[in-house]
Amino acid sequence: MRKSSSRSSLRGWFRVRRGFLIAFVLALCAALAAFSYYLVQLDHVVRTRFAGARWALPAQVYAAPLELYPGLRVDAAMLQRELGRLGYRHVSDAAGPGTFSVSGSTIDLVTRAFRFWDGAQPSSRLSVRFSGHSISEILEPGAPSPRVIARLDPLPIGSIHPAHGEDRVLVKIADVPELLPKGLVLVEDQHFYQHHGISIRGISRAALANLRAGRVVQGGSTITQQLVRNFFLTLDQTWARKANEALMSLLLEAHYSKDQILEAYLNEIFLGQDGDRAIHGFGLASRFYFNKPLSELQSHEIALLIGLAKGASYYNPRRNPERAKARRALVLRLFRDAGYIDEAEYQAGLEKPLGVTGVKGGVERFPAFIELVKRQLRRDYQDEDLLSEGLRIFTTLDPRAQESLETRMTEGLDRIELSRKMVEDSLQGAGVVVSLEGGEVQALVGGRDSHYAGFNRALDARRPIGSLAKPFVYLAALSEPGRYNLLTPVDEQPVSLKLPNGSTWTPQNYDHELHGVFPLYLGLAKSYNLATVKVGLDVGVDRVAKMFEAAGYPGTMTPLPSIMLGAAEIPAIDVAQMYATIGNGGYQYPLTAIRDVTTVDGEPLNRYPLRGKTALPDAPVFLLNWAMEQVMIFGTGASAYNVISPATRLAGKSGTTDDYRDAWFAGYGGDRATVIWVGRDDNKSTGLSGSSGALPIWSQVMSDLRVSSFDPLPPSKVETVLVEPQSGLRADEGCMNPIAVPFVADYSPEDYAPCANAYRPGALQWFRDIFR
Amino acid sequence: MSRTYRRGLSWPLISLLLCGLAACTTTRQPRQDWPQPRPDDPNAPVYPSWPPEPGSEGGVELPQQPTQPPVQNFPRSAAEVSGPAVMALIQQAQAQRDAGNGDVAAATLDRARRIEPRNPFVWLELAKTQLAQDQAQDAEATAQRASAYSRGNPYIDQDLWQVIAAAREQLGDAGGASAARAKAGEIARMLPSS
Repeated sequence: MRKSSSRSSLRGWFRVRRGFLIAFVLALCAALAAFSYYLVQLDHVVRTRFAGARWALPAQVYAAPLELYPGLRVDAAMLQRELGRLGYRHVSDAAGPGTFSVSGSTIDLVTRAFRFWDGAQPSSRLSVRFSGHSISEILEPGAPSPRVIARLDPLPIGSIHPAHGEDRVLVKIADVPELLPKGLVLVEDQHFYQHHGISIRGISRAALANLRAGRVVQGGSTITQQLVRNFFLTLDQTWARKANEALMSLLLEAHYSKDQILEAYLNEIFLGQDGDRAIHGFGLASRFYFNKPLSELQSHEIALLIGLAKGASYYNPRRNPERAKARRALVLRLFRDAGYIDEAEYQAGLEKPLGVTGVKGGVERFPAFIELVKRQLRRDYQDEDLLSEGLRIFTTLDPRAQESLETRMTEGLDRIELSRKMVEDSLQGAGVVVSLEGGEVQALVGGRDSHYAGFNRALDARRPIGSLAKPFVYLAALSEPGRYNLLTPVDEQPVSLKLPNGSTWTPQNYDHELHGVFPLYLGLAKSYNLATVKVGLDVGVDRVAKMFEAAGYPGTMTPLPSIMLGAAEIPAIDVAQMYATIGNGGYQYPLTAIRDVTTVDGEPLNRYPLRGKTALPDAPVFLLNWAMEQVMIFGTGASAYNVISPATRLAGKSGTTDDYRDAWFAGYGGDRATVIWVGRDDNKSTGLSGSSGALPIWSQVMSDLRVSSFDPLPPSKVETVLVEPQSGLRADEGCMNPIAVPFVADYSPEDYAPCANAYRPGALQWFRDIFR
Repeated sequence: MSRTYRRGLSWPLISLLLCGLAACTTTRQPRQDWPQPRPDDPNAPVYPSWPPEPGSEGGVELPQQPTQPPVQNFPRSAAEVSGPAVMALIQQAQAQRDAGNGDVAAATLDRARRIEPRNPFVWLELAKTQLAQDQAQDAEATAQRASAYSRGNPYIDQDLWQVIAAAREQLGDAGGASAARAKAGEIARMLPSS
């Protein structure tokens, strides 16, 4: 019995144990299944994230490239400045893309390869010679003949990134300097090429070090783990997160090569903050800190960037230069100890300044212009394409024009405030430079602090344009050649108009005087209000309003009499459009800031070709331009010739509004039109007229840009006649001071003035004289 | 001290005057007197002098009347008036257009145009390129702009009218096309046969 009972209890025990075992095995299987399922899920996440669209790539924006060719009016100093702006390194002997050397009147340079809209352009070694202020010859060593044209790579001027978003420029591991991946592995994860994603050795070493120090001094994370953390996880330090991180690291390593992982790390890692923009990856960091491509960095620069991987804000070279320098020294020492650089390079590297560019980098330098680019792009592209597809946007920005406009605006406003004892920083300004032929916006400034991406006055400040409106009044008059020509006498009279709303409009001249009778063009040249109103009322305000619209005023201009003296509030960019149309002889190009767009790989996507039209009749515009030249010769624009050579023909108009709230100047030479506005944000009086506030800045900018002489095309329906100014009749060598005045053909004076040798008081003249 | 305009001259009226209607006034605008500047009047208008005195602010060139030089003086090819850079770009664009890359050719011509904005041969090439790309409307507009810069050069104008004719044909405007072709033929007859 005992035996049997003991056997049965034993059997029972086994039965129970078997039950446990089965349950355990089942549980284990279930756990394994669940874990496998989890792993499969995790694997899916890892692979999708890594293989798919890994990064949202902001669109990159470029300035117009500089074309070099013999005859170009650029001297050695200007080219050197341009190369500096592009981040070319000044060396004793140019070698390698992005370097240049200077000897006498020759600049040797090695251009960077660049993929333009119209194709890839390889790097080339050029020898640029100068004579006087121009390029005389461009030699290419080894080539059979000199180069007739060479295009430099365009300046990167910013990106279109989401607000509070990441910005990056992708790099391929094959294209980066060898020292970067090597050095990164050395500093961040020495056993990167041995481990499978996690390093037991690394973890234990870190644990030991931390234990000894009594605090966390070393992280045991591999490069793979750091990448996983950046890619997928938040920064909370929980065990679950640690386990997840380890699993994902193993999975990542199972699927991808070491080079693929390292390349992802190079592009992902956070390396700095620029306002609301996070700088990710070494490609953008190189531009952001050194204003040049990664491929041109030297060992001490690479060391600085690698050092930043440990803590981009703690080692921020702009804010904490001492810390950054110490960190760089440490990385350089590791380079030397590993034999990556020799002792001499190490010592030289320690001595080098940090070399971080003064401006915030090769990016976000022209926020006002970028804003214009964005607005134009939004007509054709979805926001998500701009923010994520890495499009390359080639713009019309001329860095030389932009730099001049920014500098002259800031200096000009400072100078006015100082000389007139105004409150510092009380004045504001806006400016636009456009090309006449093509309507390309070459420069745009939206405020006196051009690096501040705030309120863009050039695009959004609607201020009354004052006398800038007058040309449109005179254009309406000259468009009726049977009634008006440039010499038609105008008799100034006081004006008092009952307006529809019951009020009375009584405009005044600026000097509160009446000027008697004078030829039409003088009303414009001297900016007489009452003469302008008289002429405008005579031709009809609705016709004047139509001229505004035809010239490029967007929208409908309400035909109120006050628009003739500039009550209309128009942003500087639209004024530039209107004046460019006049400067271009009535032929209008819609202003554009973009030339073309390619994909991230340089495949052509979209081009913005020239699309012009005849907007205003050419003959009256030609006459108007003659009068606008008189503005510059002896009218309100004359002081421009204090700065610009009198041999340069210019045309323009000043504008001043009531109580001197707004000072404007708009005008052009042969190639570009520039508009300047100066005023206060609170719309209070500045005491400045267009001539004293805006014209000095306008003149300086035009002088910097070596504005070419205004040279309007004479339309076939125009004839220029020598006249005697007093009578408005034809003159010849018999007259003392004749002037050459254009008339619409068939509407020119026929008779000669009494001073003329050809004067014949014939029967007709005799009769006329009788009836005087 | 009165002024007349060719258009405004009223011959019947003058005949009437000659017939002795002496005291009649004209039907034209009232007689216009020019102000006599008084030396003591600060508001007296100031006239620019012509020709400008040397060193004065008025160093302005007299806008030339459009003149018609003899036909043989007009440049016949781009090479005669273009700088080497523009010439190279024109040739590059022609090659690109012939290879069927019209868009790239247009971009190359835009580079040339930025260097020499008033070179009519560049504009002519651009018009031809647009035509080759079936952008008839753009081609005609570009040709019109080119004609402004050709300043009456018959060698260019003849080609421009051919482009305009072809563009109008593409747009289905047969009447406009034949008018343009007639214009081209008219210019061709002006040219010396060589």
